[in-house]
Amino acid sequence: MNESPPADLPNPLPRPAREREELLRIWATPRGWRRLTAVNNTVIGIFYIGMAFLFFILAGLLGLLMRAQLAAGDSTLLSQDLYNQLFTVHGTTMMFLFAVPAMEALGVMLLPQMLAARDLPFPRLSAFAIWAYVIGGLVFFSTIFYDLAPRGGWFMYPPLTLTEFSPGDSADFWLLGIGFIEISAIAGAVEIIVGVLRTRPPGMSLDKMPIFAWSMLIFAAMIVFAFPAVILATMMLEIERSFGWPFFTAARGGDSLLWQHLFWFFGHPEVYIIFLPAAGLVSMIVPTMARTPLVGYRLIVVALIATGFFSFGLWVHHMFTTGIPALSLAFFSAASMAVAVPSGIQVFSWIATMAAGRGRFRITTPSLFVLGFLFIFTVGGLTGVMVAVVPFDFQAHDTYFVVAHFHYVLIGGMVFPLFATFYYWAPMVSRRALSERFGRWVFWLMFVGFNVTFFPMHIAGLMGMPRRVWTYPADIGWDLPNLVSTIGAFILAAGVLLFVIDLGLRFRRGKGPDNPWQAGTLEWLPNDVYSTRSIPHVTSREPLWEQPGLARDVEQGRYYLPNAPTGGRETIVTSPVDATPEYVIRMPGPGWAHFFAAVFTAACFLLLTVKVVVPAIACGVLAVLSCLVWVWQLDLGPGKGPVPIGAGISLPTYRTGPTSHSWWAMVVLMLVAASLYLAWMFSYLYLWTVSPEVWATGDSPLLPGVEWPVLSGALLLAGTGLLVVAGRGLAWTRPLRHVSPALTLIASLCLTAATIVEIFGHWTAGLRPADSAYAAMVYLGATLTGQVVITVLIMSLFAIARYAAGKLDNVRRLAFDNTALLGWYGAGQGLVGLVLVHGFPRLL
Amino acid sequence: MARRWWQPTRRDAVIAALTLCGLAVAGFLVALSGVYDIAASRSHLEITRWFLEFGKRRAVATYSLPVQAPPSLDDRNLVRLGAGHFRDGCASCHGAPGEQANPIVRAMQPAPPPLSVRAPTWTAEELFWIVRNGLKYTGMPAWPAPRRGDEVWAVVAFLLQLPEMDAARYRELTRLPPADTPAVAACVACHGDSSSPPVSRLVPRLNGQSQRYLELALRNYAHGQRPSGIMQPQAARLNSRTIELVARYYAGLKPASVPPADAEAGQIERGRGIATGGFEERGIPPCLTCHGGHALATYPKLAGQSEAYIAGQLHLLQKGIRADTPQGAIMTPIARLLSDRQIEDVAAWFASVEP
Amino acid sequence: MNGVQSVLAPRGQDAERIATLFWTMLGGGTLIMLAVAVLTALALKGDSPGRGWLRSERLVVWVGIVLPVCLLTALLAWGLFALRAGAVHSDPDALRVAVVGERWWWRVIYPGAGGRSFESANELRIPVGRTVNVELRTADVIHSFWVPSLAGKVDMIPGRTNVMSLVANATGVSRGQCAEYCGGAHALMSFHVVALNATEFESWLAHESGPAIPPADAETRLGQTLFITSGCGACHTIRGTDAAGRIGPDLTHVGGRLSLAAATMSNDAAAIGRWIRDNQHIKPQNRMPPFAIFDDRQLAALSRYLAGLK
Repeated sequence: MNESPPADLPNPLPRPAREREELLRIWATPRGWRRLTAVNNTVIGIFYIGMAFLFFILAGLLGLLMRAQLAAGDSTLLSQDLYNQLFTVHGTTMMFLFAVPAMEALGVMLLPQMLAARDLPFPRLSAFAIWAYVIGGLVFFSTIFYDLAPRGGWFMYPPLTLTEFSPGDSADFWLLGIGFIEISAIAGAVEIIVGVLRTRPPGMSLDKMPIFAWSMLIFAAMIVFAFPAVILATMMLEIERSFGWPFFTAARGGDSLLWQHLFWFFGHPEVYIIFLPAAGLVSMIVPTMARTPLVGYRLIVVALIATGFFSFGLWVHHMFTTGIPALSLAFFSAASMAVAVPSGIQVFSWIATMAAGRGRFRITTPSLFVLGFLFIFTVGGLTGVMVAVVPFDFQAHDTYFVVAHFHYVLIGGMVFPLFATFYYWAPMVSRRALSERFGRWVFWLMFVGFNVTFFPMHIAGLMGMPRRVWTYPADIGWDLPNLVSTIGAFILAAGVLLFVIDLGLRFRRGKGPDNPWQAGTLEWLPNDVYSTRSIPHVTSREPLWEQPGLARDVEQGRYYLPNAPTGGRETIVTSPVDATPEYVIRMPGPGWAHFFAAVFTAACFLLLTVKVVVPAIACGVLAVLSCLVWVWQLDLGPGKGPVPIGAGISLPTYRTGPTSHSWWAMVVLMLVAASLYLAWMFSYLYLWTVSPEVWATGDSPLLPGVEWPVLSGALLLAGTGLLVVAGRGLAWTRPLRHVSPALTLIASLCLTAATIVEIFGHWTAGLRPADSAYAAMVYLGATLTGQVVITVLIMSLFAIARYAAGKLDNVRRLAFDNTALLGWYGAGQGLVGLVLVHGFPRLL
Repeated sequence: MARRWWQPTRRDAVIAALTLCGLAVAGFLVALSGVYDIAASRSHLEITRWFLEFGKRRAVATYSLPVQAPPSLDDRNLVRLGAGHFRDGCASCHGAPGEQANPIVRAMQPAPPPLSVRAPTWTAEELFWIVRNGLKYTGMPAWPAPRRGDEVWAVVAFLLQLPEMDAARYRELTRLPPADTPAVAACVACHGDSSSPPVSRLVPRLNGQSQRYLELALRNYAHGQRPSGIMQPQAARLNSRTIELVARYYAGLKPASVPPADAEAGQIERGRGIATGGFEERGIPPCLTCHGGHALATYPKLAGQSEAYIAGQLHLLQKGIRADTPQGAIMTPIARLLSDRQIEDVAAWFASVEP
Repeated sequence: MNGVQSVLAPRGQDAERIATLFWTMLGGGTLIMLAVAVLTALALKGDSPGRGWLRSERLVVWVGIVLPVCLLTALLAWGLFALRAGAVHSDPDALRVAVVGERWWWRVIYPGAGGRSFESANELRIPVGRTVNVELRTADVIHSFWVPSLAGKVDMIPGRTNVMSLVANATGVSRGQCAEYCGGAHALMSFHVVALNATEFESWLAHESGPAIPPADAETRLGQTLFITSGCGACHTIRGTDAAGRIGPDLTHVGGRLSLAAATMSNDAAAIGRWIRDNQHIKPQNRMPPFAIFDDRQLAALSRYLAGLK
């Protein structure tokens, strides 16, 4: 396994003078106002984590308010309406604005360091994701101060959240906030997948990757498949609220359970989306504290993948009490239990690693948090198995027993590892480590406070206390467990407060001590704003342990890319499995365009929420323009030619086609779109099973004649073919080459026309989207393809503009390639849609 | 680096701060000395007048930005209601077609402008804002019931017609019908009596309502529990004896319906369904349980009332504007269950039935 | 652990079965927790016998994979067995009752003599030992019907009818509560289930299906008049009078129930009076308008009339 590096590494000394100064200049963080334009992962990563932590504090304060209200029965400290807003915002903020972003933030922050990359491959995309999240999150949270917060719970079940039962804008603010987090999470996921697979240091094959990188890869993949379900659900809910398309209204063929299926198809993986990176962090900390490699590395990787896989088969266990058939109950009960096994593998791997250490396991603050995590998470796992047993879930579901269970799993499984992370990795980004003495206090206050808060909730739940109640009768025995919980909550809060104080006292941005824990992974190499001085060649899982002198050699610039041969920001792209160097990626630096894209996207959503339509559209247009300006500055072309990166290796600085990072990102985005469309297909068929009576059949007048789908399909195929020709045409000689951009435009117009034909066919058949669930699904399907096609149209106009500007030719052709990729995808999706929408009813 | 043409230094900042303080002190000294002449008998300096006018125009334009005019400002019911209020509330200061403003009023500084001339210089939204909010330091009062935008729009609708209005038309719009007794003259002016219908479909017909209900309504107006810029000042003028007198007068009149309005086909039928049977799906109780003949005397009877009035009141109830009285508190949540269409249907049905 | 609404104080067949399941799982879970704690302690302790075994992948394979798979399979089997036992009983002798979730109260529909059903609210009376199949529906949003001491919960979902079986093992009062967040006053949407022996149940059913007791004195007669003329009948039914509204709870025998306002308050004339006048403070957002139009004498008459409807 330990292949040796190329013979001529490390490079001979001395390095040319001023290389380091050059790197510092190129990677310098902008100052003053221009700090907003920063994109470097260490700068925005910290900001990202800080914002996520702020939301943790804010949502935690809401939790304290709720605990204060529940301290005694029949209390009237808070009003019913405020309490209903509090738990909605608490849950939503913790799940969407804290947990997922915190994990993405750690990915943005730590991955490049662990992979010794200078930055993730799309720095501006990360920055965009962060700004979208910050703005959307703050707006959403602030609604609690204006009595405008949603009251539907973080799960927002219709019909309670439909306009009839939730009038006003408050539910729309939830949809807005979540819409933002969806955009942001998916942008982050694209970044992380391509980052982990393509920017590893040479030699770091997949089996040498740090467990955290594995867990982030699975995390991001899960986002790609899980988030589209909730995106579709939120789209449907907003459309039903605004335009009355009856997706969830039983009287017109909709079904409120459709929301639950989609929401939990996202919502259950969401729990593991939160937990897996945390488990990855623990798998990094435990070996360091035990001073030994992780026992069962392969088993853990398998366990992570299995967790990710199983987690998509459990969603119905949130719906055991909805009256679904016993067979489904049995299947999902079994799956819910099965997911406990991978967690067991990890727990015992950690225990084995602790035992395997040279000497005793070091009890530091991070270790304490890890041990606390082990204890709490195991309890949560055991109660999780209990609620997977269907008859017991009939009792425990929607009670405080479940509240206790998931706080054990989520706080135990995510917050404790996160605090371990804060203490463990703080020296990497702070001049001083956090205080060990404070740290122990923080841990014990949080650990004791946590258990005192949440353990009694099991008992309250078993005594019959349901969730989401703002008050309860004083005389049925729930007072004592609730009072204890409230006291515990304040102890827990004291622990967090102490941590904040410690942070304020000791955290200072800057270069910290090198490798204070004597860890084995690359993030503990000496580093600065440019990450490591040179990019090492890795031959083992713990290079700092196995490759003596690595840190010194890297710092002296004796490995790859010790300088900036293209004169700008860059890092090495390697092959996805073996990590052999392939090319040098030139990355954009600070800029305003992505920042304004985020601001205008935010403004567009916000204005739409409060129904100020014209300015909203203006902001939407500005957002698209900002995006175009942003991407106009990319795709720099092969102008710089191949550059030497050391060890006698010379790498190209430009790639197109399936080895380019751009192609990979596009493919991930297409996977997102495909998941979204699959969720729609599921919804279409699901609603048919619920309400076949509103569905069109082969002889129904509401089904357009066969000429409509044939015409639409022909247009889609024509568009596909034209894009192929246009791609070839870029290689033709001028003037013939000018045909290529024209064909691109015609192709995207064909695709657009195909969608219009599809919609028009249904319209002329007399179908109106608000008529029935069937009609709503039909038009929603066309809308989904429509949005892909419109994107293709905008992209093809962009490609034409680049062609006209001389920035697009047969070599420098990313703009065209991406347009064609998405165009083909859109055509494929459209064809599948035509087969389903026009074929399925004819089978009935 | 060379110094740019202006780069503020700490000294510049200190000078600027001192200048500002000096100006403030100077201003205070002017006021303290009392030399500024505030007499209404002399007009402002031209520049002061221009500046104040400019400021006023800008303020009204800015603050009226969010105001949205209803679609039918030329509706004659709106204009007639507005005319009545103009006669009682505005004409005494602003004058009217064929009527000069009182000389006392003309001695005001600034003098209330003749609205036939000045109203057209404002947009409808601006007029609305001025009538609802009044203008500081001009003697122009705010609308006594600020939430009753519907009443303010009536006045605006009238003001929009004013420039083209001659004295004859104005007299016709604001003619006071003869009343049976002088005590009820002010009421009959708008609400009519046994021989004349209300001046506008926005004004309720009071004939045959129970005495207790009418007394209650007047008291609610007088105490401001039921907001109305038109009725509050009228009711405040009455004492308990006159309230009783007015109520007894109208309770004694034979109930009469308003002339029918044209309703959309099926509308009356749908309205009847709601009024007599409710709409259980949405939890709407039948109107007639309380507004028919057998209910408490403190509940109004709605049969024969005009559709515009009923719909208008239901919209007010939906907005919570009438929630301060016990009766309004009962009706508010019920009104909120009705859709706009159901309101129109139910109002059309009540307007169509004989009391 | 005791209490009228406790999973751990079962008084019904299903609840007892689930309580046994719970206690067993609790015992097993505690043992596993202890085992994990001991292993962790050993791992942390440093040199100790058996550490060699602890530090290898064998630990992970046997304790982390094989053991859990066996335990979980056994538990799954038991769980599915219990699930089957708790399924809806197709007992021909079963009593069928419908419960409709409304914001924020329970409409209860009993079968009456001659196929004519009649309504009650916020209280379910059932015979001991006999299967009661409860049809669960909703009038608006999703609710969940839950009586912990009798059985688990089942949701009430728009457009669907779910059925659950209850069998009470002993007479007595249990408390139930809506378990699915339904907005507004969700926390104050409770009810009582009273298990009676068979004869008591039959006589209660016969009385409950009959019309209301007519007012006996001048005050209650005034109360009845006020009830009708104030419009209460637009929403409430009192069988035997003109009041036939179907929007709110049926009040024909309201005085005989254990509680008011979906088990939010005790049931007596004073409480009824407070409810009529001040219900929006007692149970915010509930759908009954506050009736502050009565003077004290009228309110007392109305309350006494209603409290007397046993």
